[in-house]
Formats: sequence, structure tokens, C-alpha cells
Amino acid sequence: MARMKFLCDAERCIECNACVTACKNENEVPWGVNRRRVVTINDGKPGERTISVACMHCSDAPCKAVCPVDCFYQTEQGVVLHNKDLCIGCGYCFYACPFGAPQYPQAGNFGTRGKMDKCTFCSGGPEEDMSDAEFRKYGRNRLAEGKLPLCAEMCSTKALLAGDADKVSDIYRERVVARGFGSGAWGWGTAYQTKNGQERDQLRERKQGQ
Amino acid sequence: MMRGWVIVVGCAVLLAGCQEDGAPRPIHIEKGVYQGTPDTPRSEDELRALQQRTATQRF
Amino acid sequence: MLVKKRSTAAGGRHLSRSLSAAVGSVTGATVDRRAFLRTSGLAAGGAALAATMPFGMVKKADAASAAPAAAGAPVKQVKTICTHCSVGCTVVAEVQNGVWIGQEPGFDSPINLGAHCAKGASVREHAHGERRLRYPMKMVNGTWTRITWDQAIQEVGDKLLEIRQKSGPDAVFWLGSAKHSNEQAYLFRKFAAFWGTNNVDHQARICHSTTVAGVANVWGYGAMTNSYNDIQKSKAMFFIGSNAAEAHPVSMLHILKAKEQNNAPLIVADPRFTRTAAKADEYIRFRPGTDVGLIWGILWHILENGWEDKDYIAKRVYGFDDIRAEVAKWTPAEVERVTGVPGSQLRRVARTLASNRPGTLVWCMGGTQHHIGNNNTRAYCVLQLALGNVGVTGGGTNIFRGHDNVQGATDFGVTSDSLPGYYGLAEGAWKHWARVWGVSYDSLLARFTSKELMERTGIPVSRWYDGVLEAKENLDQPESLKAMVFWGHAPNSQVRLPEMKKAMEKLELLVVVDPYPTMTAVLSDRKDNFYLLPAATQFETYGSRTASNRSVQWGEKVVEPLFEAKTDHEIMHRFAKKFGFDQDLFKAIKVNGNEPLVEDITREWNRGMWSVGYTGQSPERMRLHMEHQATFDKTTLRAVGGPCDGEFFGMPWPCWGTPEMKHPGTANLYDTSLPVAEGGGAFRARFGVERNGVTLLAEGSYPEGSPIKDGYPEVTMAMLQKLGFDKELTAEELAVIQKIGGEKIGAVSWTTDLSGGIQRVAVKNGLNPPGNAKARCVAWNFPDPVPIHREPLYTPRRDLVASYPTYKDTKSWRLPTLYKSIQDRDVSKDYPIILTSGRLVEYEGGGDETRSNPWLAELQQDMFVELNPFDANNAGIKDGQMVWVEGAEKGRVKVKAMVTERVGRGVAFMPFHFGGWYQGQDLRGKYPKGADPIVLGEAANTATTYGYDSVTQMQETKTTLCRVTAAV
Repeated sequence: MARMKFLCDAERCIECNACVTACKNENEVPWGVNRRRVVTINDGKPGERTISVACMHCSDAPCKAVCPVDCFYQTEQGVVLHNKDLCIGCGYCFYACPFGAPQYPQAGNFGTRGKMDKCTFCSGGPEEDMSDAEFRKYGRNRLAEGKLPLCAEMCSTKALLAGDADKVSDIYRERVVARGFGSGAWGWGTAYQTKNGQERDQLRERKQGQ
Repeated sequence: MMRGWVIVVGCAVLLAGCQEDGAPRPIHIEKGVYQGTPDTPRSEDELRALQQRTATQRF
Repeated sequence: MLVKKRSTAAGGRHLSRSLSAAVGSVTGATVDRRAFLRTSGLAAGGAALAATMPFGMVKKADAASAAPAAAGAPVKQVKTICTHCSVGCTVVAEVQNGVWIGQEPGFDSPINLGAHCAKGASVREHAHGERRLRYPMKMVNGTWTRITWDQAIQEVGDKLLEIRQKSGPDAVFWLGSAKHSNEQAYLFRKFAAFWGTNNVDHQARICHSTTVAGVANVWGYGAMTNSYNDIQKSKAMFFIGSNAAEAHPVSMLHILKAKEQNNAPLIVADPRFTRTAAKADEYIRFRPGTDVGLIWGILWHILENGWEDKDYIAKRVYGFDDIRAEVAKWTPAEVERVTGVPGSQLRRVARTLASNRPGTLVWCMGGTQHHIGNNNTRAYCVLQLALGNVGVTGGGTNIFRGHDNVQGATDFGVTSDSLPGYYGLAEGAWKHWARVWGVSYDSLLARFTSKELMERTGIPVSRWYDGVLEAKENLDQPESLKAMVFWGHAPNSQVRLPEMKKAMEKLELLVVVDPYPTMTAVLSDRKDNFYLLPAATQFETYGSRTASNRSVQWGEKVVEPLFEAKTDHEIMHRFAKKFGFDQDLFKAIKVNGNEPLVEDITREWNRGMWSVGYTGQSPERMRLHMEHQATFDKTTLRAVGGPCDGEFFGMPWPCWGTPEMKHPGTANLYDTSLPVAEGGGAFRARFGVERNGVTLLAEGSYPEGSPIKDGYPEVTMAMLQKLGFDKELTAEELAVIQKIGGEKIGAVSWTTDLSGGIQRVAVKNGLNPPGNAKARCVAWNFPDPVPIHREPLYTPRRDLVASYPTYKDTKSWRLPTLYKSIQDRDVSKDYPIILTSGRLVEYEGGGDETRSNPWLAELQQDMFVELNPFDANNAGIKDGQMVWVEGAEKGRVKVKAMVTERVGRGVAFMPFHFGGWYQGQDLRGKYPKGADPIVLGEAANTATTYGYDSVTQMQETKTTLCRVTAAV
């Protein structure tokens, strides 16, 4: 078993937002907090592309590196999780994250920030698996139920893939071969690979942004 | 004199509040080390099932 | 650079601020159960209302808050179908203790393979139902007041009977719904028949009526010819007026697959650069309302180069020479003058379509909602016929229907021009259904004012307000409309809302039967005789629904109706009882308490729907298909092994004969490569056998295994006798046929034989029950036999009006219908911008349900208008600014400007799902407490204008004129 990864195939993503509402549905995420979003490049123009973005569960997670209270941990499968009992809602992770994943519910009437909330790869948190406490703090633990993140499992065009990285790569590679080109695996360089990969991603974004 | 005592007692009280087991979170942070409750790891069988399930997304 | 979609226009700051207070500390600290509920998405939108919620309501919603499955009680998985668009996605609901706690992907469904769009992925919000209409309401002196069901039926029933007595049954309009199940749709049409009127209609009128009529008049049936799955086999895909990526997102699963595995070029023709266009290999931007010119422009290149399929045309197409004559006029120069598309692009498109066959052609409301909609749909068909693309896998006209059961509701005749099964309204049709219903023809006749009115097409929903406002002397019925029953229909999906408002206020009685109050509840300023009755959704009942590809899927009940909602069939029963015709209406249908047995309704339509082949799909067979979804191939839809081996998923109609005959259904219509018994077919012989000495029957083309190697008319008893097949009828079948035929037994046909014997014997011997004819390029019974271009009624191109004028004013569908007098009035100076409308992925229809769902509402918080930067700059309008969009008939809407190149110069676009605002005024306070949708906005149709299709009365929403000015 390799690690868990997300992959968004930009050739397939049609900006339907199923991933967003599936996440809300499965985890009862409140209004104003978006663990997953769909972003668009060149909206309304030739070259328009969309990508579904959430925590990518990076190999060398910057959020984890900058957290002043070390509330993050990474599972054996590479899923980056955090402990809300330790989180102080400082917001450092938001600045460090290249994907804008961390979310902060407004905690009080004076706009104070609550505990950070983000995609858990549908695998809950450090509370007991599938317990009430886990669900309330982190949402559903689908991995413990033998299922994968609902956003990917419900994706309208199977653009968003989640699961065992080798299998995900296989599925994507088959598509690339069928298409005869491959440029859609957005964010993989940044999340899982080397510095070069990150530069490749940025270059691609710049090109598409033109 | 009295004021000195107040400060000393006050400091003692404050320090007592910093006892590790009395606080809701770790006080001594070792940079880069997660000290919260450990999560339950997934078993080999569960992981195999998840690997299998990944294939349902092929289309 | 990443840009948040619609970040500027759809900020919705005021809303998010007012809601954020309710959000609180969510996923963080420990919260009690109530607090958790408050913080969950549902209550985020409704916290302000919590105080006003009745106690029972709180309890229910509390029970509905999702707790993890570990709570002890067993979790049951229930399979049903999504209630939004027509793709027919399987929804797998997890239910515990009667509460819908989770939603899982339906991976086994051959249609959606587990996939959903934003709407489908959020249907579990039904379990919360926070903004539902909770109990019957009555308006008393301008205030919504709670009443009981008994009181509601009593009062509404008395008032309706009084109107019937005073003004006749035609003074009541029964507006049904594409949200009914097949059983409810069938029952609704039957109910209207017993009431004694043809003033019954539904959404199909305003979405695909021009398709149904247009396409049926080309080759027999007005439906999607192939399936979403079959597109996987296309070598080219041509989309016109369809934004599948937003309106039918899961269809893109199959479309993008074809693009990938077949390298099939995707061509999108649309005035807007849609999200579907973003995935296209070729995008054609053309002027709204010039579809015929565009299609003839493509066909011009095909004919010029001899790329048409001459063999196919000779064997299977009638009247193609008339098309050649019309197309010859559409030279590249003329096409560019009219549509704005350069000839070189259309030559490239023509070559792509010609060299990548079979190709599919997809259209939606961009093509249908025009005053020449029936011309558009027929032109599309002709293009596919010229390419030889119809009746083949990978080809066809794949018309994506709109609602989850709009195909079914159309098939079951919730329309003012036909009884169920497209039997029409002539005496023969009434006699057929009287036999099925087990009542006498005379007893039905007695329910109507006269035989003439019984056989006269009723008022279409698109014109109901004209039926109220028009002087009765101008109507082809004795009285104008006095009562309106909105049974699952949002008013804001219809044009000319200011006129509708007037009509609503003039009515003697206005009734809404719906899970949500809809904009009907707030649009008018009525003070009394106004009722809201809470209906159950399809998740709260069970039965069958027909997807766009004609597959009939059985959905099971997920939860009991919320609050005091009742199922449509139960409400119909209660009214029937009140009106005194319940015994006749439910003669062969068991009624438990007040609830008619769904399976009995299915079995009844099984016994009558011969003309469409809705006879083989018994409840048992449909349930078996749902249970064994995994055994169906995800491309062909055919089961491989298992108990449904060889059958097509959902037995897409026609599924000939009785259920016992086990016909597999027909995945692709008119496909001659298969025997009829295995799903093959041929164009329907619907228009006679010859015209002016030219045959209308196929020549040398026939379904595989046909005993007749040529065309033949529709199958009748006389034909079976002539061929000697009548000997194969059983004694029972023959007895039924004799009873129906009497003296003229030979005239009993495949559509009127209630025994199914004629169909059984025909199919067994390789005959297609509807015959084997040619497709018709010339619909001689239509105003424009050959489809021609006519300028929109409100056109900015006054220079083209002389060459392409509209029709003369006329009277149709019981009403005066204007064309020329509207077009003659030149308003293009004051209203220079073309206004068009369409869908957003997050919302559906009038949007009351989806705008009440917080998971969806959060994604689209503001009504907006898309404007090209050129027009915006000329008008001094900035992105995100509030503007007035004023239509050419002076209806005004105040919306946010979204400045984008998505629309071309001179074109503005508005989504039509918003409602709850009227001409700048927020009507939130007029909703019953707690039932106001989270997001409100101006209805686009406040600004739209007059214009109706010459055949079907389809409304013109896609091309009108407006002006846009900054709102101060």
C-alpha cells in the first residue's frame, strides 16, 4: 500500500461543485467554511480551466512545519491531520499552505478566529474512530469505514481521484495515453514532489493565466 | 514587606497554573513533535480494501 | 493566477455576515447536540428562524442531524433516483431509525457510476428540510395562517366546485409537474380528464415541447434517440444550445470519455462561451435565434461537397430535395450576414462532422425556446439525417431533457394536447382510455362542457395568464380562467412575470401544491382565496421515473414525508373524493386509507400505454433492474448475465408487449441493425404511406430479421391477417381484439389492442409495431413545412426583418397569438442588447428547492447579469455593480453586473433560477415564516417578453431585447 493522494484531472473537471457539496453533506461543514473549493482560471475565455482544491496532504507539509503548537501529524498513509484540542487558531498554517486549505470558522461576535478546520481526507481525527466526538470535531471517518473521500467518489466526471497513489496514477496514466497528452494533474508537483515539480506547476499556472 | 509576600505568593500561584497535567494542552513543546492524542492506525486488511476501492474511480 | 469563480459578482457579503453569527465555533470545541445542529450547515441559514419554529419542527430537524453510523441501530441503504435533471443518477441513501443520515455513491448505476453534480451530491439536505412548507396554509387578509388538511381540501374543493358550476370545468387550470413520478403524472392527467378539462399542462411546454413535436414529426417519437452512455461511441459530438456541463453535469462523464477514447471532436455552438464550450475543440459563437441559418450553413458545405450519405437518404429519408432547395439559399456570405459566423469556420465544422461518423447532435433549451423552436429542432434532425447519423449507435439526436421526470410526464400526457401516450384528444383516444380505465366513454363525455371542448386542445401553461387576462370573447372556451392550481411548478421559469402577477391577482382562487412555497406565494398581492398545500418529494414516496434516455427507473422511499407533507397521489385522492369521482378514478387501483397503491397505478398504465411501449415495464421488472444494476454494461446498457441478461437498463421505451413478453427495451431508437425483439426498430409510419404519389415508407431498409424486406405501414390486425400471422394470436388475445374492433376487427392496431397480442405476434415475427417508414424532412402539417429562419420578434437586426419576417398574428390553443404586430414595433434603439437566459449548475428550475439548500445556496448568493466588457464600458458599468436590466416590455430587474467575455458584444445573459425579488423589491417578508429560501434574487423572467412557438406555444426566453443601466 502506497500513500493516499488526491489528483484533480483538469481535462475532466467541469466546475460542477459536486466535490464541494459532497464534502458539506458528508461532514456537515457549516456555512462559511469550505474544506474544498473549485477554482477557475481564465473564467469565460478560451483556455478556461477549473480545478478542485482542498488540502492535498503534502509529503512535506508546510502547515505542519510552521505550526507553533505542533498540532499536526501525518498518518502512515501520508494523510495530514491536526488536533483541534491543540490548535490555537493562529492562522500560520493558512499563510504557509500553497493551496489555501486551512479554514477558520468565526468563533465569536468580535470576529475572533476559531480552531482551524480543513479537509481530513475523510479520515476524521485523533478521537476514537467513528465516535460522536470525532464526527463533531472533524467530520466523517470514511477510511475507517473502508471508503474513500466522498468528494472524489462522487465527482461528476471522475476528474477528482482519491486513494492509493499508485492506483490513482494508473488511472490517470491511462487517460493520458488515450489523450496523447498530459498536463492535467494539477498541483501534484507542489504537493508530492520535488522543488522542480513545484516550479513546473507554477510555470503551468502562469502560462494558463495569460 | 507585605507587598513582597503578595508578589511571591502570586508568582507561586501563577506557576502552579503551568503544571503540565493541569493544562488542557502540552506546555513543553518540542519543535516538530506532535504530542496530542495518537490516532488509530489502519490495519493491513483495511488498507488493502481501500486500495481495491480506489479502482472504482476508473472510467 | 487563481481566481475564485464569480468572485466579484457573487460575493454575497451581506448574507454571509448575517449568517456568520449563527455559525459559531463549529468544528472546534465540544458542543452539545443542539449546539451542533445549530452549527451544522442547515441551521446556518436558518438560525434567525429557530425561535419561530414550532416545537415539532425542531424535534424533527434535530433527529435529522447526521450522527455517525455507530449509534447502534442498523443502517439501511435505500436506492432511488436524483430529483433534479434528467440524467437519472442513482442516489444511495443511508437511513437509520427513519432518518436519512448519509449518502453514498451509487457505483453500480450504469448511468452515473456513482457520480453526482453539486445538486445530486447534496440531496440529503432533504432530511433537514429546514425551508420546506410545513403544513397547509391559507392567506387570511394578507397573512399566512396555518390550517388542517381537512379544512384545506374542504375549502379549496368547495371553491373549485363553485367555479366549475358557475364557469364550467375549463375555468380551472390544473398545472402538473415534471417532478411527478410516472404514476403521479399519469394519475394527474386522468384526474384532469375526470374533472372535465384539457386545461392541464406541465413544464415540458416551456422546455422541450418544440423538440417533442418537432422531432416526432420527423421520425415518429419526440425523444432522445440514443442514451447518455451511447455517446461514448460517438466519433464526433455537436452541441447546440446545450450547456451540459452545468445543466447535465454527469452526462459529461460520457462525453469526455468519447473525447478521450475516440479522440472525438467536441463542437459547441452557443451564443455564450459556456463551461461546455470550455471543453470544446471548436467553439462557434453565433447570434441568438439564428439556429436554422447556422445549421443550413453547415449543411450547405456538406451538400456542396457531396458529403451527405446518399444511400441512407435514398432508403430512409423523405423530402430531402426540398431541403436542398432551401439550403442552397444559405451561402457562406448569407450565413455570416445572419448568424455572424464566418463561412470558413462552418466549412471546417462540416468537414469534421462528415469525416467523423457516427456523430451525435445534442441540443437543449438554447434551441427549443424560440418562437421558431420547432423549425430549429427539425433542422437539427435534418442535419443528422443528411449525415446518416440516425438509428445508429454513436449517432442520433441526443436531446437532453430538463427535469428528472419531464420525459415521463410528457409521455404520460400531462399536456393540454394529449391523453397519456400521445394518443391525442380525438374520440378514438378517449375511447381507448375509457376502456383502460373501465369507465364508459359517455360518462367521461358528461364530465366536459361539450364534445368540442373535450377534443379541443387546452390552454398551454405558457399562456395561462393570457387565459385569465384575455376577454372571454377572444377565447375558444366559454369563460376565462378563474382558478389556477400550481402543482409542482415555479412561476419564475415563465416569461412576462408582470403579466402573470396581474393574472394571479385577478383569479378567484390560487392554489399551490408543492414542497416549497415557490415564488407564487409572494409574487402577487392577493389577500385571500390563496392556499399553499405541502407536497412530498420523490424521496418521500416511491415509483418510477423516466430519464432522458427513456430508461424507466424505480426509486424506493427514503424517508416518510416531512412535517405534514403528503404525496401527490394521496392529495389527488383526497380531492377526487371531495369531487365525488374517486370511485371511478381509482377503479382498478387499491387505496390504503387515502393513499393509492403505486404499483397498481403502474400496472394500469402498463395496460394502456401501447403507443409508446410503456407496457413491458412492470414494477417487478423495474425493481429487478435496480437491484442488479451492476450487471448492466456501462456503454451499451445491456445486461450481461444475471437475472436481466440481454435486457437494456431501465427497459428504455419502447418496451413492447406485456411484461411477460420480456422485451428488453430499446436502447437506441430506429436502429435497424438489431431485430425488433432485441431492441431494434425503424422510423415510425405515422404520416400515411404516400404523399402526392411519393412513398413515405422505407425503401430497402428494414430491421434485422424482418420478414418484409422493405417499408411497411403500422401494424394492424388487418396486416397480420394479410401476412397470415393472425393465426398465432391466442384465443384470449383474439377475444380482446374482437371486443375492441367489433365489426371492424381489421382496424384494431398495435396502439389499441389491449391484449398486447398484436404487438407480441408482430415482434415475434420481426415486425416493428409502428411500421417502417422514412423520416420526413417536410412536415406539411406545420406552418413552415421546411424549417426556415425567421427573425426573433424582438430583434436588433431590423435590416433582416424584411427578408426573414415572422408569422402573421393568429389564434391558436384557444387564444389569440401575436407575431407580426410585435415584430413590427421597432424597439431596438431603446433596447439595443440581446437578452438570453440559462442554467447554473447549483440550482434547478425556479430554484426554490435548491436555493433553500444551504450547501448549494452558499455557492451562488447573488442574482447577476453577464455583460461583455465592451457593452459594460460603453454604459459605464463596473464589475460587481448593481444594474437595472429592463426588458423590451418594460419589466425591470435589479441585479449585479458580471463583466465577462463569456457573452459576446451586444448580448446579456441572466440565470433563471432566482426569485423572491420583484422589480427591485425584496419580498422575503411575504413568505410563510421559515419557508423563505436562503437565497432570493430577481427573477430573470420579470424582464423577458412575448413570443410563442408557432406549433407548441413554447415561450421565447432565449432571444429578446433589453437595456442595462447602472442602478444608483
